[in-house]
Amino acid sequence: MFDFSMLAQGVATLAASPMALLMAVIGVAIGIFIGAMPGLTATMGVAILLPFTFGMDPLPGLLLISGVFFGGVYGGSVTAILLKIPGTPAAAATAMDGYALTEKGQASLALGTATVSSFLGGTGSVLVLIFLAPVLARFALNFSAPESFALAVFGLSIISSISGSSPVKGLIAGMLGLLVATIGLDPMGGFPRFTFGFPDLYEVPFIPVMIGLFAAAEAFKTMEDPARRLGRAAKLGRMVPPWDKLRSVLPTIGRSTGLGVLMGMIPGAGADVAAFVSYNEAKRFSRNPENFGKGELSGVAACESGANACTGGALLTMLTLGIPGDAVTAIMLGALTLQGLQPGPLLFQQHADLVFTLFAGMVFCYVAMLVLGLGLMRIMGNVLKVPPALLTPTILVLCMVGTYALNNSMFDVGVMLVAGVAGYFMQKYGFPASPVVLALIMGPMAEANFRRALSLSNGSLDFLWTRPITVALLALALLTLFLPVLRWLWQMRQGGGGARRSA
Amino acid sequence: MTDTAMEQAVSPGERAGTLAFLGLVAAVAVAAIVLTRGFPPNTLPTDVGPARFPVLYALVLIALCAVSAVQTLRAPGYEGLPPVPGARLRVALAVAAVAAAIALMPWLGFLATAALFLFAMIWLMGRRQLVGNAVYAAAASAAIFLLFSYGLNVPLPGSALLGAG
Repeated sequence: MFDFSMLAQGVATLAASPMALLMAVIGVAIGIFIGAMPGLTATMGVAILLPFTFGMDPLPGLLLISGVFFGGVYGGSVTAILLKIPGTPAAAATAMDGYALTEKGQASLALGTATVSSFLGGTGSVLVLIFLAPVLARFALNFSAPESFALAVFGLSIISSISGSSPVKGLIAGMLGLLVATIGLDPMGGFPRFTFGFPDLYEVPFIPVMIGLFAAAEAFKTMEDPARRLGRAAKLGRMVPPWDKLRSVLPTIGRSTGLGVLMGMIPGAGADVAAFVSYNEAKRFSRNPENFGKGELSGVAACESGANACTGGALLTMLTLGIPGDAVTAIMLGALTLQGLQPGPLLFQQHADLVFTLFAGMVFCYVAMLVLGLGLMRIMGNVLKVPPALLTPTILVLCMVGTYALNNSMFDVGVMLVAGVAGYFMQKYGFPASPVVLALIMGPMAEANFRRALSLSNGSLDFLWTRPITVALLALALLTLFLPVLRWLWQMRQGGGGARRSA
Repeated sequence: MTDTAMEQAVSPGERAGTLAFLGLVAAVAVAAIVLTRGFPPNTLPTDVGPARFPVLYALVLIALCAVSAVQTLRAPGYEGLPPVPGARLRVALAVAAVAAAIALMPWLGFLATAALFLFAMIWLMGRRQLVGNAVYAAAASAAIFLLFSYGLNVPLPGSALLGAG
C-alpha cells in the first residue's frame, strides 16, 4: 500500500526549502537553454553543473541537476519547431511536424502544444515513478540483449512511417544511416570499421551528423533563395493552446507518456527512441495519418510527451535498482553517490523522506518548465523576426561551435559539414533526413544486442522466437514496416485513387 | 494527373540529380562491401563477425537504389520551376566558406574566424550594409565566444598565429 503521508511530508519539506525551489527553477532555465542549442545536450548540461552541486545540500543539488535534465529534454523542441534545427536528437522527431506548423504560421500553437505536452508527459512519468516504481522496475529487468535487439528492430521499422511520400527513398535514407552507424569500433571484437585510421571515427559521430543533416542543410537551402524566406510569417500569438486543440491531443499525450516511461526504463533506449516510437504510434492511431509530416499537432504532442516521459522512466530504474538507463542518469547516479546516497531498493527505506521530497521537487521542476516555457516562448519566438541574412550565417556559426563543443574536435565540425552537404542534396531530391537519425540511434543498439544475444545463446537464433517480449516486439516491427509499404503499393496499383497518403 | 502521380512527377533536373545521388549512394555501398574484405574473418561460432552487418546493409542499400532508380526513370515528367538566379553558386560558396572557416579556425582562433565568416556570409545573403554587417559580425562572434567560454565552460579554439582566442 502506498504511503501517502510520506508524499505529503515531502511536499511540506519542499515548500519549506526556498533554496531547493530556486535551484529547481535555475536548473530548468539552464536546461531549456542548453537543450535549445544544437550540439549541447542534457548530458553535457548535467555534467557541466555537477561540480556546482558538490558544496550544496542534497535536495537543492539534486533538483538543480534534475531541472537541467528535464529542461534539456524539452528545450530541444524550441529550435526544432522555429527553425527546423533540433537541439537534441529527440527533437528531430518534433521538427517533422513542428516546423511544418511554423511554416503555416502556427508556430505559437506548435510551441504551446510542445510545452504543455512536455509538461504532461514529464509530470505523468514522475507520478508513475512515485506510485509504481518497484513494480515497473521488475518488468524492466526482463529486458536483456534479445529484447533490446527486438526493441531496436521495432524502432527501425518506424522508418517506413516517417518516410514521407516515398517509402523507398525513406528506406534508402534509413539504410544509409545504418551503414554510417557501423563506422567505429566493432561492438564485439573492437575492430575499427571504416575509420581510415582516424581515431575520431572510433565512435559513430552521431550528433555532428544530426546537426549537419538538419541545421546546416536547412541553412544551405536558405542560401538558395534568401529573399523568399524574408517574407515568412513570424507572428506569435497566444501561447497556451486552445482547449479544443489540447483536448484532441490528450489521448495521444496519454499513450505517448506510457510509451515514454517504458522506453526510459529500458537501458539504451532514451528520449530519442521514445520520441520516434511515440510519433509512430500517434500516426498509427490517428484518423488522419496522411497529415503527419505536414503539420499535424498530434505529431508534436506525441514526440514531446514521449521524450519527456522518458525522464521518469530513466530515473525509475536508476533510483530503484541503481541501474542508469542512459548517460544523464549515469551522471545523476554519481551525483546521488556524492551526496552520500546509494541508489537501489534500500534508498526508499533508508532515505524515504529525502526521496519523496525529491519526487515532489521533480513535479515542481515540471511546473517551472511549463511556466518558463510558456513565458519565454514569446521572447524565443522573436528569433523568427531576425532577417535571414543575419540568422542563417549565425546558425552556421552555432552549428560549428555546437559540434566543436562535443569533443573539442575540428574533425567533428568537418563531419558536420559533410553531413550538411549530404542533407542538402537529400532534401533537394526528396530523401527524408529523419530515417538517417533514427538509424544512427537504433543501428548500433540492434547490432550490438543481436550479437550479444547470439553469443548468450551459443550461436543459436532461437532467442528470436522463444522469448515472449522479443516475439511481440518483432511482430509489431513487421506490422509497422509492411503496412505503409503495402498501402503504398496498393495506391500505386490503383493509380493514386485520389488518396494522398504520405506513407 | 492524379495526386499521387503529381507527387511522383519530376523535372529533368530533379531526375538527373536523383539518379546521380542514387549512383553515389550505391557507389558508397559497393565501396563499403569492398572495404569489409579487409576485416578480420569471424572465428567464433557464436558471432557473425564485424563484416556481416555492414555487408547486409550495403546489399539492401544497393537493391533499394536500383528500385528507386527505376521509379525515377519511370516517373512522369514536368517542366519544373525556373531556378533562382545564382542559387547554386550561393550554396557552393556557403559550403566553401564553412570549409574555409574549419581550416582557418585553428590558425586564426574562433573570434577572428567567426567574425570574418559572418561578415562574408551576410554579404553573400545580399545584405549590403558594410558597417552594420561588420558590427553584427563582431558582436555576434564575441557573444557566442563569451557564452561558450565563460557561460558553458567550453573552451573555443584559440589562435595559433596570435596566441589568443
